[in-house]
Amino acid sequence: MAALPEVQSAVQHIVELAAEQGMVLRLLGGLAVRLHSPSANHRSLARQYADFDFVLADRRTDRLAAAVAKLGYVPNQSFNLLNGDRRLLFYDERGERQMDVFVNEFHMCHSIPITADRLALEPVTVPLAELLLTKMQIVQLNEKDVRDLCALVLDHSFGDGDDDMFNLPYITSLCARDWGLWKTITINAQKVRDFADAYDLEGGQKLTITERLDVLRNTLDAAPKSLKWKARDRIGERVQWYDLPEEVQRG
Amino acid sequence: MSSSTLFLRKATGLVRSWSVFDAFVYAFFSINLITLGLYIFSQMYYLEGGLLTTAVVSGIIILTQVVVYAGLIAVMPRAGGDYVWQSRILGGGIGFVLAVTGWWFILWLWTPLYSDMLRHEFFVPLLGILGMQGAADYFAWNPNAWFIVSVIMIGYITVIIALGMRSYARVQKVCFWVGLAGLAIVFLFLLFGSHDAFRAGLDARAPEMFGSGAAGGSVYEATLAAGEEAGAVLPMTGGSLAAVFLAMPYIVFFNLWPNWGATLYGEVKGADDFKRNMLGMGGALVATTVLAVVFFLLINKTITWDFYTNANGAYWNYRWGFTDQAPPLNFWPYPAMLTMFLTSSRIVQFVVILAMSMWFFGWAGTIFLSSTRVIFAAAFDRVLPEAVATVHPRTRTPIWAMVLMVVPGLIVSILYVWDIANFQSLTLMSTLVIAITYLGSTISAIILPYTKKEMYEASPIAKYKILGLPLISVAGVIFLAFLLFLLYQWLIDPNGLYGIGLTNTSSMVFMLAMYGIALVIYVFARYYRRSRGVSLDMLYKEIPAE
Repeated sequence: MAALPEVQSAVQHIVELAAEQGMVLRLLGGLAVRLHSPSANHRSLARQYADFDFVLADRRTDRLAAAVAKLGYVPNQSFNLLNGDRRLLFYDERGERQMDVFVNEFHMCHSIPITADRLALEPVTVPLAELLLTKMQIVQLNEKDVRDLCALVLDHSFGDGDDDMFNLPYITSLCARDWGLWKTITINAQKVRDFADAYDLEGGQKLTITERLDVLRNTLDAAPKSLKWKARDRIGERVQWYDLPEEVQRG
Repeated sequence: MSSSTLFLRKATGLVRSWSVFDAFVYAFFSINLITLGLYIFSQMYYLEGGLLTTAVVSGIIILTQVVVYAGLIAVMPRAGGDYVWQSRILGGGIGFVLAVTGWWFILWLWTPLYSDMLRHEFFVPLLGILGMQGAADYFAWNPNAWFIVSVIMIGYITVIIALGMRSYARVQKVCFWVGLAGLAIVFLFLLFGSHDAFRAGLDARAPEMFGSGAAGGSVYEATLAAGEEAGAVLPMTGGSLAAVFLAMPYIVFFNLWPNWGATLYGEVKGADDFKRNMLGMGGALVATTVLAVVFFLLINKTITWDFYTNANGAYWNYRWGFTDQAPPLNFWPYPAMLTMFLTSSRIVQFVVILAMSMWFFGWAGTIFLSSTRVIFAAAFDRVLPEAVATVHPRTRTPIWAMVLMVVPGLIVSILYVWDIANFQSLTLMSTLVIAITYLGSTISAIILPYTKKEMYEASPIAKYKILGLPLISVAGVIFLAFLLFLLYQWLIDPNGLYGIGLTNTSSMVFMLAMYGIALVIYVFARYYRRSRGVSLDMLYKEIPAE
């Protein structure tokens, strides 16, 4: 496994290459969390970073493929052909690292809008709000996801902008439109609180996580909701409100 | 610690493009009652097996096909379907030849058939309703118009395939609901309308909208007479068991396709779930059969079966050149249009026929969409050049795959539309060649539990058994017997009913040409790849990645 500075440099290089082609490519996932959150290096929250996850706000996926080929990344031809309008897969030459690219959208358990304007707010990663949402929309959270979320919330507060904080009005506006997203995020906020207790964090750190997640929860609950949201709320959990991504045999 | 739990999700997964409902709609449209169904029912006017009985009995038999395909998909949910299964179970050569003929080459012949349905269910009735009798007549009878419709149709299909799977599913879903609403209105008209009102409406409005060959007399009476002269005898129910079975090689043109999405299942959520696959394909078959039964009963109630069959007989008797006497009803007897003679409102007529045309527009993409996946899969295996498995970087249109379907499709359309070399006699050949492909997959399914034991045992279908035998093998044997019966009837045609048998030279030449081209491509690819150090045999030993 490569050292973090080396990985960070590789990511930076990929983002710059894409920019040279006029494309906005940004990192998300665990590695993006690591770049934003020093706490991700805390002994209780540290984890391995196996893959690069990116999001691309551009339809010209052929240009991205040409750009990353210069770095030795080869495409998964069949996967990219069938899914390339929304997802791309590449592998490095040694086959040790996989590069997963979401194209123009982030759709897993829920959809998170991806726009070039918002991606431009950060030089290497997606903005913190999107980073948090892409983690919190996961219905089947795993250990690594919870560690990432703990680190993110520990190091960043919720506020009105995107500068080293989670843009709360933006997150609220998405959740006020999408009942399913609201539901999963509120469930996961509770889950992260529960698991934060189990980690070897200092009391003050646990309190910070709890307080910040309370801010999130209270704001989401208090926000005015759309009619569609209210109608969906009446149906509740009787109808599944999320998609479940499937494992893909990637050859 | 609370009761919260965590999961062992390994990597970033993928939300596949289609839901089970999308797969259901695709299957529902693939056995399209309004396009394929009404088109082929109209040609069956001279058969003696009851149409309702034939639809139900064949539907029950075809449920075994659903079991076979739902099982194969659950074991190997891969883009390319039949090609992947056959090439991995029966061998690369057989798999390639059977799959590309059934999923690619024969679709060329379907091109003029699809466009024939489009002109009769969309252009002709709508132009007639709009009062453009001359234009309606042109589209109904002129081969130039038919060819123009083929070109328009191919343009439409290219666009919706280029939209990608998710947008395709959205278009399909809208068409599904609007089409169902249109059919519901037709059903209501038939349910509450009377036969006398229909007859009066037909006689008053058909000549005014479409012109008439009844020479000023009653279109209704003249149609009955022309139909009787044509030998129209098809009953709604009844007929001997033999007659019902002899109607099946015709009716399967409509209902042999609940598995048409099989090549796409690599892109359907939960495709390794046997029950879900059964629900998607089997549900479509059952729903369509039920709708067909209801439609037949309602037609019988208000239009009357006698008139419907005679109108079909009069039309096809003229179109097939058995008489020089033009049919009194100057258009293909589209039951939705016939029903609309119950109202004098042109607006209602227009809206209902437009809504009913969604059965075509939601279905049209099926002609090439499934085929693209077979072409891609063969290209991934390097039997076809890699270029055919590429898409336009911006529009994501599979350009070369589409070219390989569209250009020959247009050439075959020319042959068919102008009836060159007796091509119009080949209608059922479109079904025969695909049935041969299904034969290969059915044999693959029967032997799968024995030749790919490890894979089968690890699959979700291993638990389904009948008398200790694998369900997929038992269903496969029944469906195989059905396919063999169909092939015998089509090819030997002892009763001279289907016109595509060994005595039809055009039919045999066309079929042999297709299999010949497929074989040549495979043999060439095999030697070409070997000369570059790639063994196709080794490749076929591996299951392709998703």
